[in-house]
Amino acid sequence: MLKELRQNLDAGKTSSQKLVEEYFKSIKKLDKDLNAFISVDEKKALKRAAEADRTIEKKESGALTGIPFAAKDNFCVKHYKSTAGSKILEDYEPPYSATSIRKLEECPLLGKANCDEFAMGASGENSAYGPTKNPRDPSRVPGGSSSGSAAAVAAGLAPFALGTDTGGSVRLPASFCGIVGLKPTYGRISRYGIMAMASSLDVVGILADTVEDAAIVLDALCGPDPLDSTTPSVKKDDYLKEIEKSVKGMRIGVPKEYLQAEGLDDKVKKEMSSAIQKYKDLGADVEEMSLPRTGYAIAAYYVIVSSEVSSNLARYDGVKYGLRVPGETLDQMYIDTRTIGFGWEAERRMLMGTFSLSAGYQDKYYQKAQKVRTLIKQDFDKAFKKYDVLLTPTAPGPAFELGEKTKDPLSMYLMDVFTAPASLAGIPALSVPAGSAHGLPLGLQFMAPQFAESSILRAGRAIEL
Amino acid sequence: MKISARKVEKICELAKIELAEKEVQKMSRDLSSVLDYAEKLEEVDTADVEPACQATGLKNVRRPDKVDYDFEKTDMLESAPETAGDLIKVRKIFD
Repeated sequence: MLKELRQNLDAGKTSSQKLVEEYFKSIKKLDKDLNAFISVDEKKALKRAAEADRTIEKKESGALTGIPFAAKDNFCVKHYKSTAGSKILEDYEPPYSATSIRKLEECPLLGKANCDEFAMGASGENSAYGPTKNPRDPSRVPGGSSSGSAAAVAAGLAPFALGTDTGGSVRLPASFCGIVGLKPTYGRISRYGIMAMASSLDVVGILADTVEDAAIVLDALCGPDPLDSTTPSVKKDDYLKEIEKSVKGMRIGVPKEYLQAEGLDDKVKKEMSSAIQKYKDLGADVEEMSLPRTGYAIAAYYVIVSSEVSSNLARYDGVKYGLRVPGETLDQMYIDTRTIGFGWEAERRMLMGTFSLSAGYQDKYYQKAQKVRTLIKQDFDKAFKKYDVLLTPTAPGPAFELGEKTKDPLSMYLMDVFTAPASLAGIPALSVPAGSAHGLPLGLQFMAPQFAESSILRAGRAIEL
Repeated sequence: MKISARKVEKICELAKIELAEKEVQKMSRDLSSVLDYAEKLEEVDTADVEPACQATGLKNVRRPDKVDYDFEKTDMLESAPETAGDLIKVRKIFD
């Protein structure tokens, strides 16, 4: 779809300004109900589009010049309201833009997409600006935390969107909304200018209509950044060429633990079986294998995430930017600002992290979780000696109903059961739509060794065709 | 592991968050259920296993120590909640 937009733009069949106007027509019509955006700015987008149109006219366009997009609200955009779904940043306009936003400077930004507060949630319901609805069924959640990014792409309000994925926040909403979600290798895309949640896990992710579109955007965004010390200089592949290759001879492993997981929808099992058959028919070598520590991933994940959250969110203190609630004393200002500014999930994770890092408990929880993380990573290292790609469901089932899991934190956390392991290992993972259950889309997940995005894109593309 | 209401209040103090009494009870239940689940980690034998702090394997990444950003001072000050001239204003730190 992005390729087609490119051709139409370059051939003069449409213009970037026309595209922006069309997308805004849809946003105005649909977003009142959907709530995919926290803020939009048509004037800014049109200005950027006019610049892009001049570049296109001069025949100097790159792959994405003039193509509009949406960015999750935890991306800093200079002089553009950036709240991360939190009241504590309600009026915050950053003085700088994230590297990934700067890399897309020839693309008009349609708006900032709704998300769970500071990217903490699996449903999109933790936003201080109201939940986003699933465009496929408005009584259901779109998945989180990149809820608005996924809903916007699925509803045709943006051709692609940026999100962030810490434990499944791009893949889960992609699966629930029936689109493609790519979580690249940890460090593949710069995180400079992304509001940090759990720094050892956070990555920039891509939400798109097709695997090819995700590959185009990945190509534009990836690479080392001197402003983010976690971005190694690893050569990028020619993703668009790689996805054209056949999966014949590809070694695909299917971890049995994922198929034996509790609460796995029968339709998901069925979809896995037909996918396995399809890859066999295409000439891939598919076999069942084991990732023995899968069942411990969520426990390790939540201890690590909460610990890092308690540290990262300490910066929101009312001093330099964001909300300030004046208090009698400095201490009271900190307390009132944070208490009023943060929602329940953010508070819960900060408190959990403060506890798991406190004297006497650090070894039992944080250290232990980090050790289990090592073992989970080793499971993957071992698996990738034998397999090019691992195939699993993205989620145990389709999108659930709004309000269904908000009362029980654990049941919400368990939505990440299939996505968190790849985050802990820092490996790339891709969710591609495949089949449906009860009229709602399902997704399949592909995982590969670090920096082998080509393999998952190629495998994902094969199931799409 | 059970996190008592008293423990919750103590952690709140450290994290600079205030909860109403009802919220303390709810937080105590929420945290206890998540920590109970985390007890699962005890089943894993981690003797002689190194903790993983990150996934890149990168070590001591450095760059030249020179100013390399394009913030405008005025922009920075504009995003501050309260300013006095060129400075960010806060309540006094020492009594």
